[in-house]
Amino acid sequence: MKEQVKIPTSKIQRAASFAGAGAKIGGNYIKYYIKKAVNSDTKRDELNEDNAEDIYDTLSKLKGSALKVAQMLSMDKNLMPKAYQDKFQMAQFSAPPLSYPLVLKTFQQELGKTPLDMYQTFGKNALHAASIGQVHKATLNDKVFAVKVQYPGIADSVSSDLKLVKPLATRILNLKGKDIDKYFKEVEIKLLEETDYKLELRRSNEISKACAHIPGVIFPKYYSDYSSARILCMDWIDGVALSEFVKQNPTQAERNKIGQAIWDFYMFQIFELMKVHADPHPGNFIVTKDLQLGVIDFGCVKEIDADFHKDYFMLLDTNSIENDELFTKILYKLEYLLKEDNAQIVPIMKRAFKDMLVLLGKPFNTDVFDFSDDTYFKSIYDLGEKFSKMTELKDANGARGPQDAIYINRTCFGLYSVLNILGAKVKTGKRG
Amino acid sequence: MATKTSKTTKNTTDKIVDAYIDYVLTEQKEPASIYAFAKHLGIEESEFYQYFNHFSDIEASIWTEAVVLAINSLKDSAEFETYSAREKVLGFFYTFVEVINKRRSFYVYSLGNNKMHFKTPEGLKTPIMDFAKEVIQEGLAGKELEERKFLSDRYHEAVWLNTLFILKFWIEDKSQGFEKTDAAIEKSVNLMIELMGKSALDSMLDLGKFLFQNGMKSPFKM
Repeated sequence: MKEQVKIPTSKIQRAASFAGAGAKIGGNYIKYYIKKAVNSDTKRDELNEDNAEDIYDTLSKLKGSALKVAQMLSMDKNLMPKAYQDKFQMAQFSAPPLSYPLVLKTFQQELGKTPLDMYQTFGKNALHAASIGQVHKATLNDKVFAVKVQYPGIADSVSSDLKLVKPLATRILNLKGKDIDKYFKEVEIKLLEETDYKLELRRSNEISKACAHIPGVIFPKYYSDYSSARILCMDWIDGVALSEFVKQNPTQAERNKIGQAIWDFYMFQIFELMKVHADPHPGNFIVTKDLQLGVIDFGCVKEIDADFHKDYFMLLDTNSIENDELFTKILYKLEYLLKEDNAQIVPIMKRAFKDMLVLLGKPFNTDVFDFSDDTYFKSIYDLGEKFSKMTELKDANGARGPQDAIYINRTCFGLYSVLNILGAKVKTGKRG
Repeated sequence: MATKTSKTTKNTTDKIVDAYIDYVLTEQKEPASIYAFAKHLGIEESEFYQYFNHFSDIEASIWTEAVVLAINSLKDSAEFETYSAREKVLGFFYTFVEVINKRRSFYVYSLGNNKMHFKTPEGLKTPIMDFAKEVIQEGLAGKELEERKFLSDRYHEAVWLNTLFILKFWIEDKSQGFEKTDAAIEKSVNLMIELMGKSALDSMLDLGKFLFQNGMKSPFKM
């Protein structure tokens, strides 16, 4: 291969984030990382401190879907320290709630009726802000409902927001625009899906029906006659958000019970249903008084392609990782290794992927896994850090991996980190 | 030729208005003269003057009607009485935009037409200011809005400026269902009402007054 290494890419965060669970990170990592990115981009050593500040400032000012993308990319690339992520999430909630007249208008536009034509009571003020809408409480004949109303103009701004964040992302991750196109396409599709509440309703019904048998998990019922593209009506689940539950100092047994329900729910979706609630974060789970796990918000669902599924999850199995021929074949097929990679880099990359996969696959390869173990998360982070300092990996070419992996990685990352926050010990076991 | 009972007055007004809208939307300009327009409509020129003096009167009446329709249907809703001043203003703009969406082409034409003459649409300002004064009075009485010397007498003009902002946004809005105009209404009215309420503005005015009284013309020049 006479072609030179095309782009001096950034570090091998791609390897680090490979099968997805991100590290919990501390410190000034992002600033360091951005500085690096800017550095290699401009080939000049000065000026960079300021540039890094600028990029970070821009990043933290993003709202709406741009923010989501930034969050997701950072999550996917193991890039964003936890503290910054929290800050970003805060930024999302800072938009003031929709006024009641606008809620009213949305109702009239979408359903041709006012809230009070449909319910006996309807709370004028929103109780929670969701990322693209807000939730009102309503009652009818002794039943209580959660009614989600979408902010106006969201669907319309997705594409333009993405355009806004793209140069930023390519710069930070040090990629070429066209390398990243397929990932952006995937993200755009998903974000647009999230703005369609009719689709969410269909998927919620589908998944909750299929998962009804899983012990400890409950789902709200959804009401299509009371919903539209921008309004979604479901049962109100009495309980507290998972993050709140953790603050109430539950016993270890209680943590484990909830953790187990979450794990079982996800494993069933990933391995049986091949369709997964791809947004596991503490706000999307409600814990009821009798310790049931309520799952809400099916806005983001990833349908997993069968071929991709087979290859991808084989990588979490120690047996296939140890089988070098099989392992290499899968890496090429999923484009983690590229045909143009030269002979020196291949073994190094393989080693890196292998180390990371063994680590990330750990919960899958033992009977019981303790997610409260911070040393485990730290070792993932340390490994990522180690890779980031290896010049060979830094010089490797472009964006790697299939676009299907983005949301699966995000799901796994979310799952691990929710279980970590919960401090649960979970029977993970070998599958089957 | 119609005789002038009140019923036919109504009919003829509608007829003139409809024909006028049809004409300007097709031709993208005013008729050459009232004579030509009356002829086009099949009435005597003198009859036209019984209803309107000029084409701009027709446009003004269309705008006024839109505002009145919006205010009336807003006031008809059961919840209107429970609204705060903020919600009343928001409710008005949402309803108003809905009304003008129904004949968007005409309103866009009329605004563009007026922009050339550097006029805001006649017939729009007065009814909006009247409504704004009424709502602001209530807001001041209920302490939702802050009484400020000189300034609070002119709050309704802020509502008018806000109207112009929203119309300008609406003309250029390409989003589906004009959803972005809704967002523009929400955000601009929130800001306006917050400024009219007890806010940082008071501290700013207070500081300004203090500096002025102490002979400091510009705080930023040493």
